[in-house]
Amino acid sequence: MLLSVLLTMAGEDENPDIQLLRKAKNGDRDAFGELFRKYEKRVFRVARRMCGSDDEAWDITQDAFIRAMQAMGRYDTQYRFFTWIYRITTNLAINYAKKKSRRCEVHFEEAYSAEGQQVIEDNVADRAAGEQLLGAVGRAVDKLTPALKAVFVLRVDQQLSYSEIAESLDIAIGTVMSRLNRARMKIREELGSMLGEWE
Amino acid sequence: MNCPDFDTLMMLLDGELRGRKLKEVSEHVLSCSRCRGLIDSQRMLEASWRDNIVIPDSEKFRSMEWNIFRKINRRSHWRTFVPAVAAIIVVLLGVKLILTDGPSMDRITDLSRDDQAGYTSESEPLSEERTESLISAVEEPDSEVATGRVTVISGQSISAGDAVSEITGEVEDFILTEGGAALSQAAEQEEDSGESLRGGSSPAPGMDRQDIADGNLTESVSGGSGSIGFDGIDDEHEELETPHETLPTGTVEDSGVEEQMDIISDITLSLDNDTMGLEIAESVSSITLTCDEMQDNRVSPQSSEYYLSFHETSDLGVAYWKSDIVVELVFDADGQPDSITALLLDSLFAGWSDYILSGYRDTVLVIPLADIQKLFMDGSTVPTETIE
Repeated sequence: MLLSVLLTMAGEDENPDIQLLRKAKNGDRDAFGELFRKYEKRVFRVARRMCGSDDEAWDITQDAFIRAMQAMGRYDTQYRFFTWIYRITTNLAINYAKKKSRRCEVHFEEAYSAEGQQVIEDNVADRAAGEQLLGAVGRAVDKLTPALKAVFVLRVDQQLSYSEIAESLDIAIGTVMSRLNRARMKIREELGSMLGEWE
Repeated sequence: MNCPDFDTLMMLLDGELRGRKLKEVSEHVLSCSRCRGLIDSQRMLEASWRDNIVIPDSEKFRSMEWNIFRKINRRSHWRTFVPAVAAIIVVLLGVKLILTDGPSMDRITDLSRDDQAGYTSESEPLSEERTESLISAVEEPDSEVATGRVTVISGQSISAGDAVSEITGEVEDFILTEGGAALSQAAEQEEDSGESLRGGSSPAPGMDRQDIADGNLTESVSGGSGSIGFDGIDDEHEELETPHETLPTGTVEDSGVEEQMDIISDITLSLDNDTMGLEIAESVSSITLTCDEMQDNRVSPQSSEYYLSFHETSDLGVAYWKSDIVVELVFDADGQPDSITALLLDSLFAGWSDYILSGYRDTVLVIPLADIQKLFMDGSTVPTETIE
């Protein structure tokens, strides 16, 4: 028992995020700022990828951090903080998606970023076809179910390993692999012959 | 080696293959244009998608950072005051808030139970005209305008905005009971006048917290009685008050309210800083009344979360929107609200059951009170936390 407590304490000491979280919860503005800045863009990206609109992504990002602070007592310190906040974020996003699905909204950001266009220009001879393909990829990802999309987003956008995704979503690694492959297959099916541009 | 399956190729792409398997598949891909093409196309597809996002500038994140910190701190801050609030409640159980000798209102609103059940998240500011009307009435007690009454019915929550809105033109007196006591009837002169009325504390259509935040309203309370007034007239207002140490009991004609009055209990009252000088009221600029007892499905829930959140908003002043008042909606495994949630929804708007989503199974939604209707009826993107 004592060993367990000591190990737990040692683990917490090694995890600077937990220390920041505790300080932030106790009103330490600097600690909260440091923690927030460390993860703000990552959380926003996940939220944005999951829900498809900036406004919702802002709401989800804010809610995710508030929720993390409020639920700190339930945080299992054996896990990494970023997987925990990813879990909160994806759960919030899935909840948003459920509500949004009633309105049958399908939204994709048609304005391509410079980086996205650069990838096209580097790899696709016909720029117009490449942009069309990029738009189609976005729409195909948007069509994924929230469960498949969460895995795809964490792998492709956040570059998490399978084990990190499993920890984030609290699912088995085998489930991660099957969902990820189903997501990829569905996207490729949606793109169909357009994939020839890249093959 | 035969071509590996799609899953294996994707594991290679993701860097998830190890040892001998990694060596075998890598060697195959080097010699197989089909597999190499598949991996390359997938890599390009994902790279373009990954880079195709515009992240807002840091300034917006800084603003959000501050908002979140403030909210977190506020919540923590409030919880430290819970014992203090409990003490305040005990003290204030004896407080009666009365507006007497005031002007009669030329409009008396019939607030039926159905009306009280309704809830609107939209409200409009108290008009300047109405404000002037009340000020005039207070300053000219001999005018024909008489005092009105607001009856606080068990199970309803009203804010200062609600109350003032009522007083300015819809009801004839403002009386609060002590905890558990029956509400008194109107003053004798009112009975003599033959006027009957129905007090109501339903969420008022003409006022919201923002009005108060904008400086339109303040409250003052002195001793065991209180009044509601406007900025700049509190002093004069107090002089017109008639503290009612004991309130006569009786009935109100033709209203059906007397039955409801009997069930009034546990009114809690938080007051403004000037009056009470308590730390908890440091930034309170509104009166908040909460009836905690349930009756006839016309009640606020006894949810401590609701209760705390409600006062939490007051604690930080009324510069916060109603959306800061959050409630928990609990749905069971069948996606149906539990009994407390059902009561809450009953008290907020009729027909809610037509809009409940079956998707909310084993879910607790933490949602701004003011947005409940919007959530269910419009399916809008109301900020909601989900606790699974």
